This record gives sequence, structure tokens and C-alpha cells, in this order.
Amino acid sequence: MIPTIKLHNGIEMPCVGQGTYPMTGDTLHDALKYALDCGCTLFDTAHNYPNEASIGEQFAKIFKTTGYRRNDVFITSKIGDRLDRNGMPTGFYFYNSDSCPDHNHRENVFRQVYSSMKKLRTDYIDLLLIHWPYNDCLEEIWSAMEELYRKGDVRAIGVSNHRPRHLMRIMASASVTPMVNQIYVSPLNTQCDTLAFCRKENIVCEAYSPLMFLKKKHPFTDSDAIDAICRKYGKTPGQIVLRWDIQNNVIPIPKAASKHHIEANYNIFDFELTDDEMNLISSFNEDFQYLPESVYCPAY
Amino acid sequence: MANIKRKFRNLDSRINLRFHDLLFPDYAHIRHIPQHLDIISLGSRPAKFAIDFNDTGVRGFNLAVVPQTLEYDFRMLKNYFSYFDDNGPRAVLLVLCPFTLLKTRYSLTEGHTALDHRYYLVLHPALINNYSHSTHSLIKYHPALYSLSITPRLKGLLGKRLQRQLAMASNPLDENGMKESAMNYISSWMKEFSITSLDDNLPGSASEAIGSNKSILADIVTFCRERQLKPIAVIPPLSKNLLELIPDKFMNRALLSPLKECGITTIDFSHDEKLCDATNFRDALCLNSSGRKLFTTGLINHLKTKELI
Repeated sequence: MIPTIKLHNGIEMPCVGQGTYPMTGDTLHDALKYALDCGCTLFDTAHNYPNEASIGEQFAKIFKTTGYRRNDVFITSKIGDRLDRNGMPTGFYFYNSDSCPDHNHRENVFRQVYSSMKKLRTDYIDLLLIHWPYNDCLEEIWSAMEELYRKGDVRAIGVSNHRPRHLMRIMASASVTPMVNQIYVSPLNTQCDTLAFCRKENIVCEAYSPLMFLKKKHPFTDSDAIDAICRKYGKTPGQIVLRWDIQNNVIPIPKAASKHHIEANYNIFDFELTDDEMNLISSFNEDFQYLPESVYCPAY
Repeated sequence: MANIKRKFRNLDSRINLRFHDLLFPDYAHIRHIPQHLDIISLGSRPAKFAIDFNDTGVRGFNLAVVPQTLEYDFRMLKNYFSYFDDNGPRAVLLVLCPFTLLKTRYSLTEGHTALDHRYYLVLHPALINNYSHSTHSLIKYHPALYSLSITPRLKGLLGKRLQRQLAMASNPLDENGMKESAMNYISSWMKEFSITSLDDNLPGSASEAIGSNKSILADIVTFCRERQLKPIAVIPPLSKNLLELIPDKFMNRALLSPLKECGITTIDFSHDEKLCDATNFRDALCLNSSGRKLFTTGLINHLKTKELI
């Protein structure tokens, strides 16, 4: 059983999860099933992911053919801009610009959430996030999300890719403080300021793409010291990084498709990194921007 | 089958990238922008020719686009400021020339420039005026087809005219050529902005444009303050031939006073004796590659001396 973290509204959220972008079909089905079998119940998606309907379809199959049920899983979705075929934003939603045909942002929040619920084949979402701090209408979006929260359509609400100044902007007019902030966190970008702020405000942080940086050659992957830590615990660099996240009170949501990788991602509770080891891993910080924020969200 | 599809997609992407680099020389440059920058420079054609951060020891990147209004300088900043190092000096250089603040937007009578297609590959769609999703798809996924709509300009683009001009290390013009170049610039600006004499007060339309650009400058200052960026206006060296034709009064009215009123730190190299020598230029306005290096080095030294970086 994977441990949980309590959000400030009392909801329990698993301390590690599974990313789903952009898996579909049998690959997605198997990934979801393997993750569930490993005890993972947190699954992350978004309205603008092309596979949200596939996730609903595969979960429906799993709930029909196994003992797992909807209330066993914690589903996160996000409202946000439309993406093009390369995953780049199109400016179609949540801007007051020529690229955005409909400036009724509040209505678009409701439309996206209900559309996601329909695709996911569920009558509630466990955690709803804003994908980026859309400068033109941030308060309007948050207000709509608070309404969905009060109605019970979503069990918790939060943000993604928000820095302290964006959170402060929301909190200045919010009646509900965000419960979660999903950001890029890795040894290459330890996000000290944002994590410290969120800790102070009782906002839980999640880390997307926590292991993506391991796919390229880097001093971290070449490090003898990291290698020594791996050998000490009999773990892979990926498992070391996920454990580092958890001990930093960050919920990582790695994406994996193979059974081997999925099992490895959740086999991280039988060891504990020392303070020195934690500091060593953090020392690789270079404030690396995995998704340059202003490119994805101008005037960020 | 999936393998063949993937190979075809990769080939298609590579061909498209080649077309993009040829059709949009600014994109060819900007797509290589690195992270952790200390300085970003913005501006139009003179700025493109004025700044070269290579081998200066600072992490800088020139985001000038040919051509570019102040409105789009601001949008480029909004789109790329995340490339600054969080702990660096975060200096934003607005490279401005005497007539910069008289221009607000390009109109359709000025041709293809007004369509802002040069921004479709470098800016977020929400930052582009009169943005069209179908145009974006055409440019991004079918650049070969798109190029058929700009055939008059193709020769210059495919011949890499801008890159050749930037690479020019000396001044191809003699004294008479420089005089003629300066006269051409002045007369075309006066026509563009309906100015009958540079000694007179500015016409209403020019004053309105300056007012509008002052507003943008104020927004830039606010934007920078909120994000711990340092805006600095830089006036690059102008050739002696051009300076002779621009009265100080005009320079004050059109550029220096508005900048002062906006409270932006301004560094004025327009009358620098050494830099204004004709050997540093490729025409009366734009620096050649040697002049560019000389100016950029001098500028960075000045910024360091004043502890702006």
C-alpha cells in the first residue's frame, strides 16, 4: 500500500503516481493495470491530452474485469489551452487575444471539466488543476474551479507550473487556497523557492516528468557518487530520484509503460536516503527549465 | 508500417525545418536560444546589426527581428524571458533608433510585413496580432506550399540576403555612397511619418505614436519590475552622415525625452566619436560585423562599469 499525504482540505493523496501522456490502447491498459497491481492509485491526465478518452475507456475495462473500482483510484485532470500535434500551445483557450475565439473563460472551465468527466467516464474528478498561470484570466479560472469544488464535482483543486508570485496572485482573491502545485522538480531543478513557499502555505507539490532528464547524458548520470548510492541500496538512478522526491515531500508522477519500469517506480519504500545523500543529489541543481515557462505561457 | 510512418514523419520534419530556416532567418537564429542568459537584446533591423554577443564572455542573446516594432519587442520579451538565469543580472536591452518610437504597427499598404508571419514560428499564438490558426498550420506543416504565396521575396530569402549582409565586415560604400544612404533613410522616414521638416514640431500622428509607445515602455518597466528584470534603453552609434541630418531637437523630442519620461535607464552611443566612424558601418544606419563587435564589447564594458550587469 503506497502511503498518502493529506491535503489541507483533508483529502488523502497517494505519495507517488503514474503519468499517462500520451499512451493509448493496450499499452495504456497494461500500464494502468500494472500500476494498480503495484499499489499505485494516482493517475494524471489533462483535458488537452489526446488520450483522455482512452484513459476512460481502459479504466472502464479494468473496473469491469478486475476487482478495482473507481473509488480505488485518484484521478487528476487539468484545464488548459489546446495543444497542437507537437504538444505546443495554440492560444485557443484562456487568452484575451486574437488566437482565442471565445473569451468566456469561466464557461470554458466548466466545459472542459464536464468534457473530461465524460471522457473519463466518471462523475467526479479527484484533483483538478490549472495547467499554467494564464495571465489574462487567472482569477476568473480559479473562481470557476472553486465553484466546481463547492458543488462536489471535484474533490480538490490546485495549480500546475505556478511560481510563488502566481500563487500569491490567486490567494489574493481566492476563498479556497490551492491544495496542490504540480511543477517540474528534479535534481537539475530543485525549485527551492517554490517548494519552500508551498510548504509554508500548506500546498502539496507534485513533480511531473521527474525522470525525463535521465534519458540524456549528464554529470548526474555519469556521477560516481550517484553510482555509489545506487549500489549501496541496490536501486537504479530512477528509483534514487523518486525516493529523493518523496523525502522532499514532493509527489512524483513518472510515466512508464513497461511492467519492469512500473514495478521499479513503486519499489522505493524499502530504503531511506541519508541527509548527505539527499544534499548530494540536490547539488546537481542548475535551474534547468524542462518546459521554458514563458514559451508555454507568455508573460508568465 | 508504424516504422515507415515514423521515418516519413521524421523526413517531413527535417524538410520542413530546412524550409523554415530559409524562409524565416530570424527563426533560424532564435530557435537556438540557450538557457541561463544574462542579457537579452531587442529591437528592429538596426538592433539586428548592432549586437553580437559571441566571444564577449557574457551569456547574451539578440532577439531583434527584422523588422520589429516596440509592441513586438515587448511580446518577444514576454515569450523568452524565462531563458534568463534566475540569479544573473537579467538585463533587457531595448536597442532604439531616432525614429523607433514613431512606429506603432505596419499597415497592409506596407506589404507582407504587416501580416506578422515572421512571428508564427517564434512567438506563442496569443502574442500575434490577427492570428490565424490556418495560416499557422500552413507555415508550420506545409512551408513549401506557404513559400508559393511569397514568391516575390523568395529570391532574397533563399539567397540568404540577410545573413550575407550581417556577415559583411567592411563598408562597401564610399563617402558619396554613405551620404546618399543617409539621405535615403531620412527621406523615407520623413515620408513614412508625414514629417515635412525635422526642425519643426512633430505632426499629430507622430506624437500619437510616441504617446502609444510611451505606454508600452511603461508596461515594459512594470513587467520587468515584477519579474526582477532590468530594462535598459540603448541607442547604438549612428554614422556621421546620418547624424548630420538629424537635429538634436528632433532626437530629443522623438526619443530621448520620451525615454526620460518613462524613467528607463538610457545609454546613448549615437554620437560616440570612435564608433560613429564610417568604417564600422555597412550603410548609413546599420553596423557591419566589425563595427558590431566593437560596439557590443564597448557596450558590455559600459554596462559592467555602471554595475548594470
